[in-house]
Amino acid sequence: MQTRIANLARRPGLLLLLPVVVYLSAFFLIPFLWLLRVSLARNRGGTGYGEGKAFYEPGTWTLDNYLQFLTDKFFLNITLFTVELGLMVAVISTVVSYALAYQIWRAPAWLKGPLVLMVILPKFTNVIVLMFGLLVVFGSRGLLNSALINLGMIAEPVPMMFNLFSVLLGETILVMPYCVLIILAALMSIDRALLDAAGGLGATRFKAFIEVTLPLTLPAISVSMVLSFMWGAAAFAAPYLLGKPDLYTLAVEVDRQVNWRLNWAMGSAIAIILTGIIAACLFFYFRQSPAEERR
Amino acid sequence: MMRLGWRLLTALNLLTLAVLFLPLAISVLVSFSPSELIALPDRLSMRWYREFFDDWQWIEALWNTLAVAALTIVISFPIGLLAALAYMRLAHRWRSALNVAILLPLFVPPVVIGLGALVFHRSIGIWGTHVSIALAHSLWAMPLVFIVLRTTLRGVDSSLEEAAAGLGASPVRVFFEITFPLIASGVAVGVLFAFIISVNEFIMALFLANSTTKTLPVVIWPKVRYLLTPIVAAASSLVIAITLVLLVVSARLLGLRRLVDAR
Amino acid sequence: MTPRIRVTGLEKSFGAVKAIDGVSFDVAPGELIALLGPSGCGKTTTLRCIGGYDTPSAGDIEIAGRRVNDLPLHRRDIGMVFQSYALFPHKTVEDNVGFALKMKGVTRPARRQQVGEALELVGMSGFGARYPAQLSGGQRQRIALARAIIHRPAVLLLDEPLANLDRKLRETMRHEIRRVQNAVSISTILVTHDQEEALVMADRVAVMDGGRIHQLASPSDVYNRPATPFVARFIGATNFFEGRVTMIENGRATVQLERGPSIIVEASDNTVTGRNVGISIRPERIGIAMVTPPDAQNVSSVRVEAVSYLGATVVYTVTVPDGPAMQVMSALVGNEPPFKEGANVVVWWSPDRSTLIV
Ligand SMILES: Nc1ncnc2c1ncn2[C@@H]1O[C@H](COP(=O)(O)OP(=O)(O)OP(=O)(O)O)[C@@H](O)[C@H]1O
Ligand SMILES: [Mg+2]
Repeated sequence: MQTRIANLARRPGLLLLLPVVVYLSAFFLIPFLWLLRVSLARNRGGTGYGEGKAFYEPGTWTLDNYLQFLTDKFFLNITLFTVELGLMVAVISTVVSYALAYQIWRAPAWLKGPLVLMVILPKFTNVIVLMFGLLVVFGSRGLLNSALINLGMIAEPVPMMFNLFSVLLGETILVMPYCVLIILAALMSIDRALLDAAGGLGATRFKAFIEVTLPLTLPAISVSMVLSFMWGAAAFAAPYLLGKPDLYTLAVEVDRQVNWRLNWAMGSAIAIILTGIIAACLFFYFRQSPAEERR
Repeated sequence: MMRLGWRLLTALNLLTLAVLFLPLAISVLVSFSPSELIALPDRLSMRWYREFFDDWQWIEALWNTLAVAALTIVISFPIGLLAALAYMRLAHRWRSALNVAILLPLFVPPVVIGLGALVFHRSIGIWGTHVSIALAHSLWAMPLVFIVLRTTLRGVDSSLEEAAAGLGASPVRVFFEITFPLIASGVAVGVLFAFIISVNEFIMALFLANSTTKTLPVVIWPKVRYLLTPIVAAASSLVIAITLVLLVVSARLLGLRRLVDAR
Repeated sequence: MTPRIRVTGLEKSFGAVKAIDGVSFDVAPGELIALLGPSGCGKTTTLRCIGGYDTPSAGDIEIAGRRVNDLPLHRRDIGMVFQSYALFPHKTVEDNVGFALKMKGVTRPARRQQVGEALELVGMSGFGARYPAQLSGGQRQRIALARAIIHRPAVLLLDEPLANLDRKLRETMRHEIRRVQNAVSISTILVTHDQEEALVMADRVAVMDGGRIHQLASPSDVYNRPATPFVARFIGATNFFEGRVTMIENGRATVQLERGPSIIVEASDNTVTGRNVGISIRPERIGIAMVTPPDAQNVSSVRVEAVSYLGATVVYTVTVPDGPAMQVMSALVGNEPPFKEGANVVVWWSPDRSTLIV
């Protein structure tokens, strides 16, 4: 025993790891396993309110929640929409972010800092604040509609909120800053001499972009797609605040099951399925991408 | 042809920047509106801030937010720091395993973390406390502390630590005399990130707060959906203000440090 | 006198790489030993094992008669100057130099006194309030030295201390370091790959290659009596021949070279007839002239193939007909080298100038 402690002290790396291992096991791994367990329990059934009571029947084992999920068209539609939303967010935010990152990269040095700051500042603020701001700008009595009416361009307010457009807009805003940073980092690491060389060989800017820049940033594009898919598929705030029930996602459904229907077992099953979808996406990505991209 | 393409790109990007930035700016503006209407104010007024601080519910929420954020720092900073120190001492193949384990929570949807914490924290009897919320927030804050400190530690020349040890400093003293002062800027950034994450996170808090421990975002949340008045904007702006003040303070601290280094 | 440092059978492997492979040596009190060898030969690793920065795979390290293998770094009572100096950038010169005393719990006023003395010793009085970034390379070097010796450690370790300085400064600092080391009389191990540095500074030089010590001897012995072909080639320039001993007489051996003439060298104790040996002759130990002087030994008629003018000296490349080429160096008395390319001259050397390597 004594020597084992001495060994530990000589390998301080292990001792330093103790807190993180304990913390992640106790408050990440175990809660997740607990969640898995609850997803396999029976629903209590009642909707009686009362703190201190768990809203599932402890000690029961059943696959009902998963079966119900798989057989109910309602859940199937939500799942489909969640994946769709993830894909749309992935494509839109990657494309828009690439355009922005590209111009930031080409911008004069003094402008780069402020531009990057403008991109990441929203990430330092509250999700709800951003959604609120979008409502103020794009709502039916919002600034944009009033302006358009005042200019005489439209007679009636155009409904811009509570549809697919607003959900996509909201979620893209949340995800985009990360994509811009990822792509910008890749662009910055390109050796300028390569582009000069391409230019010297007679390539136009556009050609140089297609032949050199784009291929070199492909790994960053794929990282951006994967990340924004994962976050898009986990969307909660935008569909909830800027959408309507047929634009709800699995994450929203978790909240509705747990906090409204008081069906923790079902909520847990959905949470597990959502995690599964995202894990599958990650798994697929790591299988596809060569080792050096993963670093 | 080239120039047209460039101009179109510029126009698109300006639009993107506007959409990214406007919601934020506008919520701040709206918070100074004198009227009940959500609209750009014609004159500035502190009415909604006064109402905010007159309402016990909001003050309690502000207190809860700050308490949870402080606890998040207390939990995530030491764990992240020790993990980063351990990372530097590990062999390469263990490093990537540690990386994956620590960063994993960042990719788990907050509803999943929130619900998992709900069922688990209830069973161990801490549900509804500030600590419970902070423990969940730390799952996102700790990885960021870890990344920031890991990066900073890489920049520390290990021969400095060896030199100190050779001159008779025990490992603990090496840390406090040499390592810590050299990574102070990273420490400030890490703490700041932990704070910002906690102050702004609301999905986990939604699952973990009881009626007396609701944080600001949790209180704002239903009001944005059902009761849109400028007080929501005022509350949001306060969150932004807290964040900004901290950003500026830490930038100052970092700036000072850089001055010392440059001398 | 018992040695200050004793290293026995030291080995260190990094995975499959054996960085040091059985190194043993002693350092006497106040002595300065240089570890000299080509890049990657294990000098730094040896030093780091002694200092406790690395853990040896095998072997013992004793400091002042005590085995220190299992003693952690901070209890070993050593001072080390790193190649990069490793001055703490966030501490003033005074706090850097006083660091070891602070770790021993010496109060600030008491420290100040000793720091002042140490700074004076290295000629840096008055720099106490500066930060390392405000010093030149040579000044940092002095501060690093002061910091390493202030607590009068049992051992001073120097890892390429002069490698980052320019040539002029390097020559001054050689003497400075030696002066300070003499003043405090600390047993010192110096790592360097610069042979001039080793020969000038060290009491004894350990020539290393491939993780082993080839020879540990005084600078003049290492130069004049290389123990192995590697040492002969590594230290200075040399002419190296291989041949077979045909006769031993009066302490002199006759060696028939593989190609060319036979030559007479001083025999060592273990020279035996019929043995294959190597012979090393320094270019500057060879005489060159138009005609053979009286009493000259090992005379060969040669042809000058090339002339390299080096300012103070000149190096001729000459060939023996049907024999090997060799380098001959001679001091220049006149402005121009006396022999031109293609000249036929004679070279000679006395048997005690060459070294027989078995
Ligand atoms: N931490 C390490 N991990 C793996 N191999 C190492 C390590 N340190 C040294 N080595 C190897 O051990 C051998 C000896 O290295 P060492 O640093 O002692 O050489 P050196 O004589 O100091 O060379 P130089 O003059 O270039 O500083 C080298 O082959 C080196 O690659
Ligand atoms: Mg070395």
